[in-house]
Amino acid sequence: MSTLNVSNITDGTTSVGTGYVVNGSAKAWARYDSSSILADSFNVASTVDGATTGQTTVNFTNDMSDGNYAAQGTCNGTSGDRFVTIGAQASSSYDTYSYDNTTRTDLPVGTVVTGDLA
Amino acid sequence: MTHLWERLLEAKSRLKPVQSKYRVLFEDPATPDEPAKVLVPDPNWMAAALEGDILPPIDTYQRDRLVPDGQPKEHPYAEPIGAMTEEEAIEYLVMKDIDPAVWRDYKGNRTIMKIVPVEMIPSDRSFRNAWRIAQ
Repeated sequence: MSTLNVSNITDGTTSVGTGYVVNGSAKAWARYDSSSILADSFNVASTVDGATTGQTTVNFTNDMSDGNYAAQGTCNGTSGDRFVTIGAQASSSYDTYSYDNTTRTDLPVGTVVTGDLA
Repeated sequence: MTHLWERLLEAKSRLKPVQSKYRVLFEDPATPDEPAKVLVPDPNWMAAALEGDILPPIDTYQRDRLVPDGQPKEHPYAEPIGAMTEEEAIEYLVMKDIDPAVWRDYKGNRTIMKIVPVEMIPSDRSFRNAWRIAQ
């Protein structure tokens, strides 16, 4: 793998520091079904189909530096009242909870994490 | 040493994902009334484990669990280990992603953890909240 060592990227008019690009990119993402089985992902070692309905724990391969990162989630649906909330966040993992209206339900989930790596 | 995250980037561009034929069923001894949990290996992680020279030694994760948040951690810069078999990779995941209270410290008589073939996990989730490990 080749490495470019540059401090800025420019299109000839606008310039941006590579630090902004690296720090702003997703550090992990995952797509899993209603049984927490992963279809595809990046920087994820495993998922845990949790003890309560609609709960999945996502475990990182490369930990985050601490629990203060931004994790988001979405789930499939046409009714418009399905959503995902993020539960406990640790440097090594976080929990997602999927809902259909007000009922916690096992649903396919897509989730992404931005923040600082360990 | 290349950062682990960069090695994962390179591995994802090169390796074909591997869906594991195993799952890990486990119960939390601190909450014995809760149903069993199911650990599912990630296909890209499994491909990296089988390939070798990507993942760090398991003991670096175990030492890093004791490091306070925000402090430098060892595993991203550790020398990667060689290729594992799928069975070794599952054992590695157990030690990495399941609480030691389950796989190391539990002294009770109940079986609270089992590595099982995928086919043994029920496909019908109607009674998911009642799943227990058969004794």
